[in-house]
Amino acid sequence: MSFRERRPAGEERPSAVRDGLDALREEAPSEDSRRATLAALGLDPKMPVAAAPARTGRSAAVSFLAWLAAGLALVLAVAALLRWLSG
Amino acid sequence: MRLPETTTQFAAEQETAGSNPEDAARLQRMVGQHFDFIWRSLRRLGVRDGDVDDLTQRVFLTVARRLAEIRPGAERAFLFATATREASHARRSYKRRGEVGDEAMADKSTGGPRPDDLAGRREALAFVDAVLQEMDGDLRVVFVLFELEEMSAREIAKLLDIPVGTAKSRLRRAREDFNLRTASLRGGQAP
Repeated sequence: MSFRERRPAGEERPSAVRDGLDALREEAPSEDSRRATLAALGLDPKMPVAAAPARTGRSAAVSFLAWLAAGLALVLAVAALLRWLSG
Repeated sequence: MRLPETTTQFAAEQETAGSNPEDAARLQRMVGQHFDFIWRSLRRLGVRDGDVDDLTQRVFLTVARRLAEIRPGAERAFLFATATREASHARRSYKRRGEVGDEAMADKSTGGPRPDDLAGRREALAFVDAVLQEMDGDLRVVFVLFELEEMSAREIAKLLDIPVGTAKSRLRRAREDFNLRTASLRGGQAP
């Protein structure tokens, strides 16, 4: 999914709406709730559970692009330094 | 919303899950990987704060009963479909009993709250929550998955078992709908 698809031009939201969406994103269940469900299922609530998968493909893609940009910037900086050193 | 049959169900399911080590391990993995996602989904699909723990538990109990029907790799989709149904039942139940969400505050008589009314984060959350509950069910699901779970259209299509084009189309309409419903806030704020 392209960035344009992700946030079309002109789709700027009021800050209260952004705050509300952010607050919704931050809501999370308690550990007690998870343990109660494990117990209800007849499972050991203290047993370590498998880690949740990476939250989203989109976040992973953004993270990859950030690393790529950082790597490219580093290469360019080294190239510029070498060119400067070689006169 | 209370679940009076929960204790009975718990006892039955404890026996089921405990009797087969493979099933127990699979269930344990499902809880580990998807519990948070299902809890968040129920919350965002209109289940009230006080009910969301119980309903999350109910989703997993339902899935435990039908574990044999779920093909490997389809656990998340099955859980989400179950959660969507539970959320829909809960919303209907609230409506039937004339209950309003814990924090619902959208005031239709004045065309929605003014920006000043949403100074606090809690108020902003309540407003967005109320807006989501007013949206059409199919649009709300796609909007929540995209905006809050940060899933791509392709991931949403896979989860809901619909064509990617349909997911994109619903997403476009959902955003237009959401933006329209929150348009009352635009006037008093800088973009």
